[in-house]
Amino acid sequence: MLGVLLVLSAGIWQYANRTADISYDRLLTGSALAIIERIRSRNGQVEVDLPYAALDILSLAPDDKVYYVVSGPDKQYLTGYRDFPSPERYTPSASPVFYNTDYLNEPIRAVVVSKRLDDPGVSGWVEVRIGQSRNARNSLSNEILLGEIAVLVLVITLALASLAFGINRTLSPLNQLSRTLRERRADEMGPLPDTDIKEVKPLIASIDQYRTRLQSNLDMMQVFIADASHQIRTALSSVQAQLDMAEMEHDKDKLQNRLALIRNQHRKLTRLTSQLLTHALVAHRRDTNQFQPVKLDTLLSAILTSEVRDHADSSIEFNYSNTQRDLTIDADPVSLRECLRNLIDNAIKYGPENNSITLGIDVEAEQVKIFVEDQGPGIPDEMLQRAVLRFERIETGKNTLGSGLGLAIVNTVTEAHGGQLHLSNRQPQGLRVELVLPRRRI
Amino acid sequence: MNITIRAAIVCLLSISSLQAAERRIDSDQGFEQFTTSKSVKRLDIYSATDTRAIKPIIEAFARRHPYIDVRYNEYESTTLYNGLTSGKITGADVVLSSAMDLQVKLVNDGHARTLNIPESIDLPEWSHWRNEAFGFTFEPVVIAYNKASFKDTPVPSSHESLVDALRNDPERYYEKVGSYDIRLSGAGYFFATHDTVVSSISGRILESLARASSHTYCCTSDMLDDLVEGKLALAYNVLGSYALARARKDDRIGVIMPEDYTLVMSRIALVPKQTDNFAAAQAFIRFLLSKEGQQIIASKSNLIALRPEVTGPSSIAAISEKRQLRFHPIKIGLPVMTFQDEMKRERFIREWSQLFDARAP
Repeated sequence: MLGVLLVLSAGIWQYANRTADISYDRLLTGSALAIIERIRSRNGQVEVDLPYAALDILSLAPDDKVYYVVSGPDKQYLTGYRDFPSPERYTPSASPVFYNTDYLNEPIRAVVVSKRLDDPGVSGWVEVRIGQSRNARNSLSNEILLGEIAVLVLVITLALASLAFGINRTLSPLNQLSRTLRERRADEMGPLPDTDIKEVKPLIASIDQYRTRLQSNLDMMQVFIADASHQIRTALSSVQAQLDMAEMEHDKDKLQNRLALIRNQHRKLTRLTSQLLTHALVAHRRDTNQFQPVKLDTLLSAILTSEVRDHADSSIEFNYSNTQRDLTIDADPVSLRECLRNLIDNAIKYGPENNSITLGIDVEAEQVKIFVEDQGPGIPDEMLQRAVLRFERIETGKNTLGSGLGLAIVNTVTEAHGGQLHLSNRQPQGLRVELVLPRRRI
Repeated sequence: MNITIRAAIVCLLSISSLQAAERRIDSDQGFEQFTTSKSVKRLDIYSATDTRAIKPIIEAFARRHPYIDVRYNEYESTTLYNGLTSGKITGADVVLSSAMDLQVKLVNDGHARTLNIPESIDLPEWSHWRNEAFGFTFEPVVIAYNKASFKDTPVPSSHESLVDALRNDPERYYEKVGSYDIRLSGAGYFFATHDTVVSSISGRILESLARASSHTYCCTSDMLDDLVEGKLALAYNVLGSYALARARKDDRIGVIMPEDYTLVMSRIALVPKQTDNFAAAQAFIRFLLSKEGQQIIASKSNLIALRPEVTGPSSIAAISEKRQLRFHPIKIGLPVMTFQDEMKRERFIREWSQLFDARAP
């Protein structure tokens, strides 16, 4: 701000000096013209009758000294201050020429004017030089300078003050908001108090929206945990009961039956535990941001290979569709693998015996779509929207524990990669799930 | 205690030495000098003012400042100006002169020092320039006359009526009018030229004076002498201070302040660059302009005080005697230099001489 003031002041200083010079230069010119008008030739002699007005005009600058000299043709001295300086390089001319000089140890502003005399016996340029000390100019220019700077300082001060006031006023709803948020209890959920300030309204709406989403996530998580613990307990107590009964069973065939039941329960429990751990893992990796360049071809091939190996005894057909062998994106390979395995597992789970599952990549300019297609029953069109929501929000219900967790994993990974989930039905049948990831930071 | 006693003694001594103020004429150098006391600091006043007129104020100053040894040196105004500009006169601490144009030129040409005169000293706007030149008297330029010559007819009371009287009554005025010889007197030149600035009939005045074969003089006092003796009936453009002082003592003389306009000149004080005792010089000029100094001028000197608030025989109030007068003070400043222009001066004197040299022998 001081810099701005200095630059502007320098400008004003220039302006003030020029204005002062222009004002007082007019007086000088008036005086010089009054004198030159009185130069006459008389009997072959050039004479000047110095008019009273010449010095009277200049006494409008009341404290300034004045020096003048009048010379005739051939620079012949006529009257005045004989050694008063001329400007450098002067060609006689009827229009006044101003110059700065020094005389009797004082800075002087001077003007020179010439006139052509062509009278009998006398011909040539006569010249008047008249100079004035700079007191009045300096005080006028100081007056202008100080006046303008005072205005400038005032304007800058007002601008700063109104800026400060404005900022304060604009930010006060934010302060209010942060106070409200600070003082709120964690479980208090109602909307925030409304504000009159248009610019702040969207912020409050966003905060409210965010809090609603957070709350519903928390609610779902609670239901999920309650559900999961219920199922784990149920499975554990079922295994326990089967074990107790198996202990008392003496019939070998029935024992075999019991053992088969126990193995089945145990497999469910293992899968449940594994998914819980996987979910915890992907959530942790999301929070710690473990991104690295991932060559998708390698990753997808590995997943598919392992799936083929796991389902070697079924009649499911696995396909792989990828033309971009070298495509590399920034991603977390571990989470991504878990996510895709879950999608494939879902396809297997809900598909027919002779399912045909395709894992592939579509590449567009800004996006990479990793998709899983199956030949299962798909989802009725009117339910597709709901299904996406279901993916995005961990809505778990009875009997869907496994897929519920699987969807939670898919959802967490998609979110962590800044991507989106697309569901669509295929013709004549089947479901296509797309993981749309942005292509970035490669 | 010691100091107080000594100061008192010095004070007594200076007053006694004042009373025995030595006065002598130094004929070799053509100036008059007197000394008030012999003390520590020396203040040299170089002046083109009649010593008798200025003496009371210098004595009063010396009484106020016993440690200052005041020397007063009287010069003719042109000699003083030339001496100061050429460097032939040195050692001046204060310069007093009635030649306003020359004093202003000294200031313009950088020979004077800036003074600090307190705000409390309230001076008329016209009476000072640049804080360097300060007028300290108020001296109208008047017409003086011999009362006996005007027993039967009114005295011309304005420039206009003077011109008419000279034309209509030539016998009465023939060789009975006196005025300055502007070639001999700076003051005479100054008054004549300022008539041309103020009045449109100045040319006719000069013509009428020339036609009446008026006598020309170097000085106001000579004209007053001839008025007293009856050699002159009327003297034009004389120094009002001297004429009024003479009229107070001698009732054969009367003074007219022209009704249309009365030029007013002022003696100017300045401190030259060459001073080696600036403090004392400034103190003297402050005293000169102070109410006390002005009161002394108004009551004890033949000069007329500048400041209107003082009283006494030579105060503005006393000389105007409640009449409505058109005083036209000549402003101290650049314009008075106009007639000091060489060529202008030459031309004015040439024209004046052509008029006055053509007078009947």
